[in-house]
Amino acid sequence: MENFKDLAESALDYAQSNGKYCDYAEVRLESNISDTISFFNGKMHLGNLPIDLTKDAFSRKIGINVRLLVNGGMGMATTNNLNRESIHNAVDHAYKTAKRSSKQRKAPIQMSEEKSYEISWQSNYDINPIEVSLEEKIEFIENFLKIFTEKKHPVEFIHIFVLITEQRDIYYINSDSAKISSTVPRVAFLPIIIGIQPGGKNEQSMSTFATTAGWNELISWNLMEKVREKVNILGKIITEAKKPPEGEIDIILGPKVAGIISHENCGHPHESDRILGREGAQAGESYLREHEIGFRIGNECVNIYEDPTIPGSYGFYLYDDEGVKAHRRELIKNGIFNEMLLNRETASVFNTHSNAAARAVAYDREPIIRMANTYFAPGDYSFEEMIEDVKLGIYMKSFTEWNIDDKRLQSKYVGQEAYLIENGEIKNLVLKPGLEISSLGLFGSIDAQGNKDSLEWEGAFCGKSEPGQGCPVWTGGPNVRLRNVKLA
Amino acid sequence: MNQKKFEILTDKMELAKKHLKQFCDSWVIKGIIKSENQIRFSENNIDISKNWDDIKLILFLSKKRRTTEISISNLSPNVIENTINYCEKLLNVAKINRYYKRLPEGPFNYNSSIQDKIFDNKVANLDEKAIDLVENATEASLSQGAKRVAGSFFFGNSHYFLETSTNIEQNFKKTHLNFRIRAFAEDMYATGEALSCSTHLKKGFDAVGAGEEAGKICKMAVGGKKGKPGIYNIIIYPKISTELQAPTPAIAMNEYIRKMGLSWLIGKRLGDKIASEKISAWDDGTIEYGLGSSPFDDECVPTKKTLLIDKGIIHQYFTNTSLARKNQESTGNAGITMPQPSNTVFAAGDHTLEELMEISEKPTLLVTSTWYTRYQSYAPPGILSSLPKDGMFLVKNKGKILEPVRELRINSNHYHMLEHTIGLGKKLKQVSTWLSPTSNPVFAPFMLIEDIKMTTGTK
Repeated sequence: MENFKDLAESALDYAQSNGKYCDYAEVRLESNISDTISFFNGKMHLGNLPIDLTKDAFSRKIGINVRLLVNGGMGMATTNNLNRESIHNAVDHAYKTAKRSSKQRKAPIQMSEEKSYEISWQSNYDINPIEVSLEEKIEFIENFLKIFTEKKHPVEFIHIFVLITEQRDIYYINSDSAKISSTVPRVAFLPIIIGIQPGGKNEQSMSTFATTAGWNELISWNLMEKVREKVNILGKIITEAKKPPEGEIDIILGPKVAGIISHENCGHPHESDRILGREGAQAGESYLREHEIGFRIGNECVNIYEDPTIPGSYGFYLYDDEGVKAHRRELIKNGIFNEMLLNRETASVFNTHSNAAARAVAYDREPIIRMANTYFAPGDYSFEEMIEDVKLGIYMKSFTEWNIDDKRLQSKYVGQEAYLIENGEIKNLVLKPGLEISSLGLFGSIDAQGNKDSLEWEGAFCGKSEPGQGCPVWTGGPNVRLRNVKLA
Repeated sequence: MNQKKFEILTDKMELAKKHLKQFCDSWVIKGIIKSENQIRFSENNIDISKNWDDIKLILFLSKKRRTTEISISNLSPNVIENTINYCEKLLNVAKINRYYKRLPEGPFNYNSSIQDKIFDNKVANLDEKAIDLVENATEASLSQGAKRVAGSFFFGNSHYFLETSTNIEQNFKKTHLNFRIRAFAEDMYATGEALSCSTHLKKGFDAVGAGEEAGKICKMAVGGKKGKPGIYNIIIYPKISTELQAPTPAIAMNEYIRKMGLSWLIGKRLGDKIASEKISAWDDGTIEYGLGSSPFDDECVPTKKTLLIDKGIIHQYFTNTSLARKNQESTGNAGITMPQPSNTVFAAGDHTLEELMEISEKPTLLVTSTWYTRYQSYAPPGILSSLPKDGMFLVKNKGKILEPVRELRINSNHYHMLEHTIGLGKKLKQVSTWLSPTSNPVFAPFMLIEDIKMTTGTK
């Protein structure tokens, strides 16, 4: 990495010399090392994955990304052929296509004015997961396989365990004099378990335990118990769960469900590139396109925040991929549309400053607006207080199938571990309760958020853009109560 | 091809080979030189033009039946050496891969005509003409009633070089065009999407036609009302097959995925019926102008056309050399650890779209696109839901009236959709869509599927 910093700087110089005039230029030199070890039904798998997390099981990448704004047109070129000639070719290509694109645009792209930083940062971690020995990683996964042999389960299981360790190093410079170096190691552990009753019902669970705080942090989470509990509950759901209630009921969403809702129903529609239409043919637009800041989205108690700076979080960063310093964003405050996620391009459109939402997942991807760690802010309620006056309802602790339309209005969440609540008491498991509800209907039905004791996080890979960028994030929240809703 | 890049790649492949030979029983080196471009546009403006200029090595390594794969884009000699040394350590602690037997020996006879059908010099030299295509498609869409459009145009060329420890050396080059456009009416919820893709500029590629189609759909979708939940027949556009129908032949019929227990066909045997007799499907790595076509796979085995579903009956799974069943050959679909689909091709029927609307005897929805297909479980029967994204229409008077409807969600499973396909369009369209479950290109017709549950939000 160090050997190529000169090349990155020469690219930036070259972009601003030899008769070229750029409104803005940036160069991102980036190295990614990634190792993925998997076990499918107890068999080690060291190849690419059938699930779309990452195509390459093991990869060693380095390359340079040049992004230029010329006469209001944007061009980007990348290369991993790291010599002066290739780098200059990349700059020339980006310059030429930016200039040609500018002629087609009715309004020029502009970048917001931002403070420039010269700084190095890294996530605070104990042991870099990429440096943990292969033997230790293999042993870590093999321990989980014992869960399936240690007792007789009422159903059969298909199980996949995936351990992804990686390190991303970036040297970022731009024409505003920013010069930022960063290092972030990440680790994610994904148990995927399908319980099957031969010839009958089945139930699937996917979890993501993920952090930037290092290997020991992951180990400290007592994952064995969590996975064992998941296996046991899948068996119970298949053999014991009963039909969910009909008619109007109350629903208490567990932290996992609240987390995915904060991400899908709030985080995505608050992305300003969607609001402005830039993702119109990819991840979609946003119902907020028709509304201004100050629009009421939900009840007074609803607060959803976005914070890249949470130590150890999977979406952790201190400066985004446009060199802007990160901070907490308050997307929905007291039920009101309070803030969008912005990069420098969209901030300029709204005549404001970026709130550091520009992220790219590798050197060969453009930085676009992404979430980091999105969550329902905790309220005041204990779990007991939340259920005590629920006459008829369900407690949806986790979810399986979910989806949402491309404007982020019509959503569906099918409960996995879910319980009947009757007269303030948790009763039997219920089978696949489906909540099919609009974002406004959902946020307008919330009357209570659990206290900080119930706040939990889940790792995820957020998909967006084209070519796709699976971006590491956390989603989170406490328990959240909905009143008077119907199951689908 | 740039001679310098070729020399760099050759040099790196030689270096990798030198290190691999020191400890591997068998190995494959795949070298790729790629120049790819994308123009992204929205609000009738080009947002960004991108170019990727990459040289990459993908290695398959085996030692005592332990196997791994690694991708190297960091071409520093010491990184290549260190990475391969790391792989040796990895293989030393790895478990035996029971699904790996050997690499094929060859020699093979390759179909030399495929090369001409997957590489077009006009695409390799498209350059700034690509922007003209985007502008023309945009104009076409606006002229049909769109107020604004967004989309993406990928084009580029790649050169692949393969060398195996069984002394096979081959190479091929390939071009691709993939254009997608989404049109929006004044009413932001009235949208239409269309796409066009090919390997050749003049063979099945029509960006302007896609623009017109997207514009027409969005105009027809204006004024759509919330649809009534219930059971409908649905007629799906070819691109929806990447979400709803192609996952079975392209994912569930991958022999490796079947062995892993991740196929919703688990429990089914060759000869079992899984679909209506209207459904036949192939994996075809040889189809002309197919984005997934190539002369050979990652083991250098010639690609072929493999019947997977024969009139509703499971005929065969696609596979590589190691996973091929007794008395069977590889279907030419390596991935060496895990087979990969090439082009998934459905049989065409004998109806026009208008005829499909006429023959449907129950309340019918014409669905032009879906997205966000998610599974409750990959286990049988593959329960899922998928969201219609663009224009969706209630078919009235046998298709003479198309009434736009919104906010309905498809709830079904793969067994049901395959078994209840009762009509097919007469033309196949090549489709390759964004973030769908099927990542490979699909050739599909319009399909009429019976008795699909449509739901909507309760609040």
